[in-house]
Amino acid sequence: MPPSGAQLLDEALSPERVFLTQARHKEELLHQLVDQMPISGEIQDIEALRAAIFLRESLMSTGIGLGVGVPHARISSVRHMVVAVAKNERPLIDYESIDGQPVQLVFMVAGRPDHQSNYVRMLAVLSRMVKDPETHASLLAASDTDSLFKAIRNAL
Amino acid sequence: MHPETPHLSILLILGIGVFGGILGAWLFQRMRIPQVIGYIAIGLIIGESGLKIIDASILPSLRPFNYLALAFIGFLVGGELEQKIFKQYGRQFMGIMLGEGLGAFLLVGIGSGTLLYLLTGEWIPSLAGGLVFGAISSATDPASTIDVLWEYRSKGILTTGLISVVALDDALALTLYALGTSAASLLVSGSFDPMQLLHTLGLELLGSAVLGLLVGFMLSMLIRQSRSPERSLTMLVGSLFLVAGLCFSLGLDVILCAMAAGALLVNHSPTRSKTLLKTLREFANPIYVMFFVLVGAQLKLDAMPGWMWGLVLLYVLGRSVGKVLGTYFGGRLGGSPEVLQKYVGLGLFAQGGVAVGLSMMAGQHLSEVQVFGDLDLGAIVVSTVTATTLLVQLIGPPSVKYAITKTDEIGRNVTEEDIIGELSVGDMLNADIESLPETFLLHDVFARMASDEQMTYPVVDPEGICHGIISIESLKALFVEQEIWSWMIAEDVMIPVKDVLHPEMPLSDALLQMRNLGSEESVVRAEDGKVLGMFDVSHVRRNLAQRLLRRQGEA
Repeated sequence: MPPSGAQLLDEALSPERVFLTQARHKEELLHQLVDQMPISGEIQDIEALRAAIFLRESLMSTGIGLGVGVPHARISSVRHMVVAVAKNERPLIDYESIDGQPVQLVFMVAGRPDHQSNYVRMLAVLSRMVKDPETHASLLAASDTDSLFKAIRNAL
Repeated sequence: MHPETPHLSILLILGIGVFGGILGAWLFQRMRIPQVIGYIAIGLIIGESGLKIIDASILPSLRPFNYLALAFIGFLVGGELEQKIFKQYGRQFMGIMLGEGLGAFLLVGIGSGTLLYLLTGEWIPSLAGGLVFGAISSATDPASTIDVLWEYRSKGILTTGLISVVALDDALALTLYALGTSAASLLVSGSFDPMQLLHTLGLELLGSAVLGLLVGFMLSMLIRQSRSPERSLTMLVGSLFLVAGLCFSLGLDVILCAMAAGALLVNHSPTRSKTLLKTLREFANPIYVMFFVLVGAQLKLDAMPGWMWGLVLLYVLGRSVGKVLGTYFGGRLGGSPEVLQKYVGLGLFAQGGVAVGLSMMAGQHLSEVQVFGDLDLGAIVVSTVTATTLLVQLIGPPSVKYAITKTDEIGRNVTEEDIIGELSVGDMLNADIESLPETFLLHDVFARMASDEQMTYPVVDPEGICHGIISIESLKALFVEQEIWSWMIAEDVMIPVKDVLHPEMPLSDALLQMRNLGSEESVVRAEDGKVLGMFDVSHVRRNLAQRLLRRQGEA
């Protein structure tokens, strides 16, 4: 039985990769998220991840609507899938989301190219989670990293 | 002189012979002439009639090598003689064999006997010479005929008929020779030696066949026990050394002996022998090359009087016409199909080891019969047969090629590996495909897949450079996750291309690469990374099977 999306998110998330920030624009926020990724553990080459994340954004914005962004990339130097979450103090207009709304909550996902189905399940569970009105509200209402982390865990 | 020098020089000669032969074959193949003539031509250049790198002093040391080569040839010819062929065509092939053998015997016998009588005015040595020439002319050289058939990958009723006839007519030639020399001795000396006749017939024919069958049976039992192909090949090559050595020592016919061994093996252990014979055929190639180079090198054509060239031409003409007409009438009597009646004779012109060997024996038997001054009948037979061997070796292979071309049997004995070897990725790519832009939303990817029959799509950037592929199989996980179809793009789910194929890449390399990577499909890209098409292993296999069937055709 393959792991569910919730199990995968539970394994990929850790409190030190959930944070509040005050980035002024999308690029700064993405850099902060990449910098939060573990350098020596699950990800061996952080610069390769940075390049892949920005390359993907150059193709099409990962703002999926409802003020949420899901930047993601698959690179071979990732050992296990990793997720970092940031809530920006102010919604960012330059994220160019598909619904045109500014983005305040960002979930960054780094996965392996050969773990396609887990990667897809992870993105799907994040998409479902933020579309749930109750979870969406509690995520936006979180005022510190603890409450933000708990809001995610409660949604699983 | 250093004691090892002769061995070194023989090895060097073998090396020069094989490489020279390959060069000759290459030159002649460019002129669309069978490679065997190239081998013989190189032999002529470096042999007795040319540069004398291989001369009379070395030739006796190389005789065992000739025996070994004949053992390989005989064995491989025997390996073609499957029982089912004889059940189906036995009567037809026997008719042709008797027809062509007796046809050549009669025409050459009468022609050469008449010419000798006209030259000498003495009917007894003329008749004796006619009988011996006639008997020798009935033999056909299986080696060069088979070499042409293999070179052009021939397959069909004519090919089967030719192999069977050239394999069997040695027995007829030996019988005719035994009867002919006995009759010649009787004529010349006035005495008939029945023991000599029995010795030749009994020992050479029966002894060779019995020894061959014994070796074949022993080999068959051994390879049935053997679990390793390498060990089986070693045992087979060892057996052929034994056959060559025993025949050399006992004065048996090495081709007949090895042929009996090959025929027994292929019929007693049909499955195991098939791969073994294929390996042996590849292994035997340099031995073949050297054998033919030596055939050319041994020919000594200088110092032949002019009238003897007349005898040579008469012999070649009589033998060729005799074989063609004999095949026709023998084929008709045996109920052969028309294609055999018309074309088998054309494939039987080559004359080789058996004829030369018989002429040497005749040379000894008839050396007492003086014909012209100090020229005896034995010397006439040896010189004439040597010269005719050169001529028929030159006209024989092209005639075989002509026959198999006329009957459309060229290129039909092909395997899938042969066809793979001729093709490149470009020949097999499916160019009729659509690509997907890397920014295509998954929603649109699924819509595209639903609307056409394509199973796999290359994913390309705006410049048309391919970075990966998407297949229905790879999207299975996404079928139930429709909420992400509206914001994920093709680039997010494509499988990066790891097995890059280029159109000029040999097909064999591409298939090996795909197998090593465990891939079934790949993108074929040009040098600039642009997509040229898809390479689908299952499609390639189907295409290869169709090509194979088409090539083998009605064969």
